[in-house]
Amino acid sequence: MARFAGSYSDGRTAAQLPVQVELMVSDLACRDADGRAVAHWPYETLAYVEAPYPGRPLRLRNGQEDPARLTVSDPDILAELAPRAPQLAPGKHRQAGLGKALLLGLAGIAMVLVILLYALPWGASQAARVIPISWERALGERALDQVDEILAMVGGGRPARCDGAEGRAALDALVARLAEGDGSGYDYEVLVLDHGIVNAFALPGGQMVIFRGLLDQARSPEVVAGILAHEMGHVTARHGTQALLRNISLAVLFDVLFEDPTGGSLSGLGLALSNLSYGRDAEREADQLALERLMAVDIKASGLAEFFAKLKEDHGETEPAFQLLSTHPSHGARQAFFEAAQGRGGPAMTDADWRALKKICNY
Amino acid sequence: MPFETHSPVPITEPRPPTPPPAGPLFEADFGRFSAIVVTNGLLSLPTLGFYRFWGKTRLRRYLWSHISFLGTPLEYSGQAKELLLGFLLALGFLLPIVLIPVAVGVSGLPRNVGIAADVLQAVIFLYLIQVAIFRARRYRLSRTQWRGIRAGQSGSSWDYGIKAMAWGFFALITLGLGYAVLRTRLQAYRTQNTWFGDRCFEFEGRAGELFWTWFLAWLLLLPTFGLSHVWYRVREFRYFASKTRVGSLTFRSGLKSGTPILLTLFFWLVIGFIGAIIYNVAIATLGQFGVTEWLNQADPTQIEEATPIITAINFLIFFLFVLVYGMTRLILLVFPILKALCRSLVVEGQEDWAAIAQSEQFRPGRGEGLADSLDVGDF
Repeated sequence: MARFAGSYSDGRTAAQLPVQVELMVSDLACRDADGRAVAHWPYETLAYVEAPYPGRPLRLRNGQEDPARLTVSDPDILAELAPRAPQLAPGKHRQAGLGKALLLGLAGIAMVLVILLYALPWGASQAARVIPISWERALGERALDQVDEILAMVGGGRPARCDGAEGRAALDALVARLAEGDGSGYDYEVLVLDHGIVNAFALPGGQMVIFRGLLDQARSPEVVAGILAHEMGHVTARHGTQALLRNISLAVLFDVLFEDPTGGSLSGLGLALSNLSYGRDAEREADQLALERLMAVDIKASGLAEFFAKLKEDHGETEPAFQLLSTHPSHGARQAFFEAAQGRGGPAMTDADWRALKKICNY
Repeated sequence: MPFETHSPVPITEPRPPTPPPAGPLFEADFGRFSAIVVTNGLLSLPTLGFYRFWGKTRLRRYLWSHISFLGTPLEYSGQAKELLLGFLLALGFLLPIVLIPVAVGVSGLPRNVGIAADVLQAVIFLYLIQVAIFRARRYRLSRTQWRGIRAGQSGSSWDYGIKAMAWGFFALITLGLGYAVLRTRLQAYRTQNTWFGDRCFEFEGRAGELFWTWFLAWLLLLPTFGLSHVWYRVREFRYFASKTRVGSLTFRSGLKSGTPILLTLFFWLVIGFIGAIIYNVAIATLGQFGVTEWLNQADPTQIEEATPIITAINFLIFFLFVLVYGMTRLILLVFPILKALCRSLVVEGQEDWAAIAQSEQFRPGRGEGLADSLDVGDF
């Protein structure tokens, strides 16, 4: 009969007793110095405290509940125990968890994709539909603050609002004409910011921003009218509100998943406000709405077609690899779209008004 | 008790007349420890971070089994699924708090209400971090066994959080001078609520006795780039050890501050180096695939088109850096400092081990979810 020296704790107190471990027919027996048995552990319930580390004493327990512990330093006991208690054989104690973690990881990736591609956009569009216009307006004000701060950061301080009286009158008249009978309930307001960027954007709630750079570049008032109509399309289709809600929830999701909610969500909100790109489908929808609007108020769409033709000429198309990620349809596609309506409609404003609008920033 | 032992005779410890001073024996191997840390890090990538519950459990099991006292190693009995469950519960708990400023932003309330909501959220998070620290400690202690006897922690994590916030505020308004008070009060609460079996730890430290040590470190914080804080923490560890007792056992540590200071310096050097490498490799890779060139060429109207690409790249770099930072910290800082702490610690006194009984009062069912979610749990 095999005998090994060991240390035994009964799990009731922290005392430890040197014992002789004897491997009997159906169980393992621990005997104290006087030969009295202090424990009989059946082989079936025998278990490791932890998968054995090479060179470390072997630690055994009796089932999962019993806090009693037996420590044996002689590694030879393994060879004797393995045939009697097959669950202790080497190789049966591989590190568990990788399979489960991989499954969870795959499920996690699938879940994130579903959330990103379907749940968030759907939820955001549903929520955007029921938000009152006054809330949209407040969101828009916050986003505008953010834009001002970012422009101030990249240089030159907060850009001035251009308000030349004649230019302002021409612009307001154009906006009123474009909004005529659209029945959306929005109170449109256009800000002209004194900055060289060739761009314009719509904020939730009816505010729109045009940069002086765009006015400088525009060769006809129809370009400006087309761009305004496009931005009004974003407003009435509530793209900005949708994008905001989507970005905010996205920032929140990342914060919670990646364990840094404190720093993240504060900056995440700012990021969400200042990053209002809508995606290509939304741009197409806004183009469609713009075309309808222009036709409804009898302004020709050829201005926009020329504008996109010039963009294509100046900067070329986006490289195909990036078109997949691109947030706008290609210039060529948009040029073709607006060319389809060419010829119909009249001018957007008188030449005198157009000259005044061009000078709205330096009157 | 639900189990059955064949123990007709009560166990009595053979008592040597004068036990020599003993301390915890740290026998973990640097190579094997690092191998576990690196494996865990690599497996975190394809599993979207979900492996960390199994990885953490594996690492703790290794560490606990290689720290022994009086010839018996500690035992870690925590399970990965407990950590996972705790994490999922914490997610549900944190989400509403994360949403406070968002809700305020969306509801169109005035701007200063928004700022107030941001501040409120920050305060709640600071509080929850302290609560989480205490709960994570409770979980780890309840999963720690020695000679089959469980350790445990009493006390309330909400009370601990309040104390931490209150003394933290005190430290703030005294321009940091009250930091030693904060440290001592919290150490007292933690220690006095720490149990081994049915035996409670005692702590008699007084912040006043640490004040001048901290004052010196406080004065030198800027000129030493914060390294005087490491020096303070070493002195503090020695003081706290000397004021802690459990039953008839007392503690003593002769830890020197040289090694921890050098380790901290080396760690920050390596992190700076790794950060620079990750950044440069990322830039070089972008250049390789023509992205940099494309970004520079892109016309101003297209700037927003680059946003998804830039966001994806930033996110990847950030994720990689957080991962590598955590691994480096465990290998270069946590392991050697833990080793030095164990080696420096001496336990004096004679204990009647048979008088320390198993206690059934400390058995939390879940993991340390909140702590894991807020990333304050250590290894």
